[in-house]
Amino acid sequence: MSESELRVPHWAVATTFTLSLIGLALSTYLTITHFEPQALVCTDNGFINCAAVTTSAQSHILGIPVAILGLGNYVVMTALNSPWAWRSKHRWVHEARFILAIVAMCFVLWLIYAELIIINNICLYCTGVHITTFALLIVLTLVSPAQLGWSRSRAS
Amino acid sequence: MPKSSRHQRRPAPSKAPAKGGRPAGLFTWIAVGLVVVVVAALVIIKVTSGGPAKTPSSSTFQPINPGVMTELTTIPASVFNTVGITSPIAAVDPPQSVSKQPALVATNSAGASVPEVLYMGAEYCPYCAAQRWATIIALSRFGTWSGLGNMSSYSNDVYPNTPTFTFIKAKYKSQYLVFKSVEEYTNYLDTAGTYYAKLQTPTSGEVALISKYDQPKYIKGLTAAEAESIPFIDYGNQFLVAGASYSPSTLTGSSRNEIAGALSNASSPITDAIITSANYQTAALCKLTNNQPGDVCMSSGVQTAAKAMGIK
Repeated sequence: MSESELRVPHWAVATTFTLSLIGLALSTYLTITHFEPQALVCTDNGFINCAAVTTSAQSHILGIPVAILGLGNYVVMTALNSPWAWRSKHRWVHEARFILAIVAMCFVLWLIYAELIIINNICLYCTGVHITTFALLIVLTLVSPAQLGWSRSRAS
Repeated sequence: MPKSSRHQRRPAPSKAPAKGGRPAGLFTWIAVGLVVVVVAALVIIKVTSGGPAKTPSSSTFQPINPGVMTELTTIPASVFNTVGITSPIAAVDPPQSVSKQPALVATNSAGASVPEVLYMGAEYCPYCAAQRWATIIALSRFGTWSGLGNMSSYSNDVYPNTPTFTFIKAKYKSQYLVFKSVEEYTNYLDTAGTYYAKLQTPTSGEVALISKYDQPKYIKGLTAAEAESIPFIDYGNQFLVAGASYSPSTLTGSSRNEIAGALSNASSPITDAIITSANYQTAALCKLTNNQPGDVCMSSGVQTAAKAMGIK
């Protein structure tokens, strides 16, 4: 596939990179506060209770803190959404970006289930990450299928 | 395709791949639709199922599982000695010594005056939850427990549902020590929903002890705002614990049975934290009992802890 065929609009590059940086910042903060809960600045009364979520049994999956999984996701996502990665001629870079966004969204849905149904609390910062992930998915579903030749371009 | 071509580096939209297949935006609609449906379903389930499930209260006292009781109180000496005070994952604080204070004593079941260990905490408190594991183990080396119950810390607090035990009906029998406990609050809110339901009321003497000793003057690192915090343990007015000796996060993600089952495994990070704290507390208790019983107090794990605490 030629370079021009992998092009996407500039707004998509700028938006996904910005969203990835936001997600990276939030997940970094959540990772820090996972290990230092006293550093968490968040209401702890009622339904919104960040500490109850970040220190819950569901804050680990297979022994790995969810915060670290989130941080790892956004480190990779930031790299894949960087302007340099968007310019990559390697098709797998663009496929990996799109697949990772879908996997991340599925994981976010599990976390929302855990917060609402199991823990009975929600965490504001986690919700910020969830919204960021959803926004990334929307942008990528708008541009990636056409970029990868899976759908007709909007301009065609 | 020459890369230096401006035209080719910024192809016109009409030059973009106009492949056949699904219309543009279909993926977006599918993704948004699925996410919205799933989240809406979760919200509906949440709203229609009401609030959080009620956690067990002391009014429905649940005795400790006999298997867990055995695992908790018959830890092999080799585990205590192998762990010593080595807890590579979780930092563990030893009890702090105080000097020149009047001895805290009580009369045991045989009528003898022996050192008293006073615990003050609450069932909702996750720090108390972590502390109880090590305190029960340490005291089990000097006597026998009965009446311990299962408990979890409050579900909406930090470190929610930390698995632990309650002292609410506990009895401790020892020729060396007397153990007294106060669980001031349950792990659920009162009917007004303003604070935890009241459970046990400390005596005036117990209030005087926590008011005097759970202060920055006696506890290094304690701030004025943290004065009289729980858990508070007074070991005969010679050693004090204020706050958990190790972080409750150490127990996060593990069930009561899993924690208890790992206590015979000296390489478990959770066991390392609990046993290190137990060895420290045992060293403090040995000071109170004049190193009785000898097989416990002279063991290498306890001696290592005593040395680290500066106990002679």
